[in-house]
Amino acid sequence: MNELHFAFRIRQHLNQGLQQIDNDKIERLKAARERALSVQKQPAANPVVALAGHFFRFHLEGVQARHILMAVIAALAIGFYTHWQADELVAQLSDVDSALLSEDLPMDALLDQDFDKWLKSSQAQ
Amino acid sequence: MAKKLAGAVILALCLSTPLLASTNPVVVATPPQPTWNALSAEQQKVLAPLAAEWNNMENYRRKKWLGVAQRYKGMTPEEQQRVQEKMRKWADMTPAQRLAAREKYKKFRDMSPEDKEAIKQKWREYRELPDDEKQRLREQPRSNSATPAAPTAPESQQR
Repeated sequence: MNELHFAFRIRQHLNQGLQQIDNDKIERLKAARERALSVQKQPAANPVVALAGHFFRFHLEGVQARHILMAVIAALAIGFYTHWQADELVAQLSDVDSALLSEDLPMDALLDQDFDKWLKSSQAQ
Repeated sequence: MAKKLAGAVILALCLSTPLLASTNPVVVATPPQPTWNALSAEQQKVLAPLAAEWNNMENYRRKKWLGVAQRYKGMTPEEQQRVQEKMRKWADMTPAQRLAAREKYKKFRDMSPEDKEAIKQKWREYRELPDDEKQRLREQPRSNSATPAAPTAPESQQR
């Protein structure tokens, strides 16, 4: 009996066994399969949310409401600081650009790299 | 306790991630700015050269230009005229060109009035150079091409 034939015989035996399962067992197998499918993990639509959910479930079980409050306050502080910093930077840009545009110096003098070379070489002479 | 504290810190960082994720806080932390139609008549008059591109501009750039329009009121008529003339060209420049020009201008701004005048005079002289002389300058290798050109005060007046 070669290997292929042996596998064929096993399959036959298993198929015969399937035919002989009584209805009670089929119902129990069906119910067990449905239970297993109902708790099967579904791929998350949003991996970031899934990661956060996993983190909260397994790492932050002991965190109390006041810790969450502290975290929210810290996040708000970071947000306000970033907003303030952005405001400052935009104000600085407005200052510099206003002065630059109103200056009695042509824009080309600021952009022309050859002018700078010429300036340096004329100083060196 | 330490674990809870670490958890709270991580939670705070998660909540503020949108702000921290950006390389430039100005880009994300600047709230939405008014569209062209929402500007006042005075703002529209000052910023008229930017009308066509205003609604496609990033919020921080709109806010910056609104800041310029605010300062415009305190300028002399000559300064206002120069702002109007340069605004279009400035907006058309690349961010790298604007950055380089700002850095160069900051050095110019910090010079003494005499040095500033000397630079302006040198620019006028440079403009008068014959074309072949300018061509010769263009063909010279740059000493340091990575840094933007910066005006340096004339030697006689450097302090």
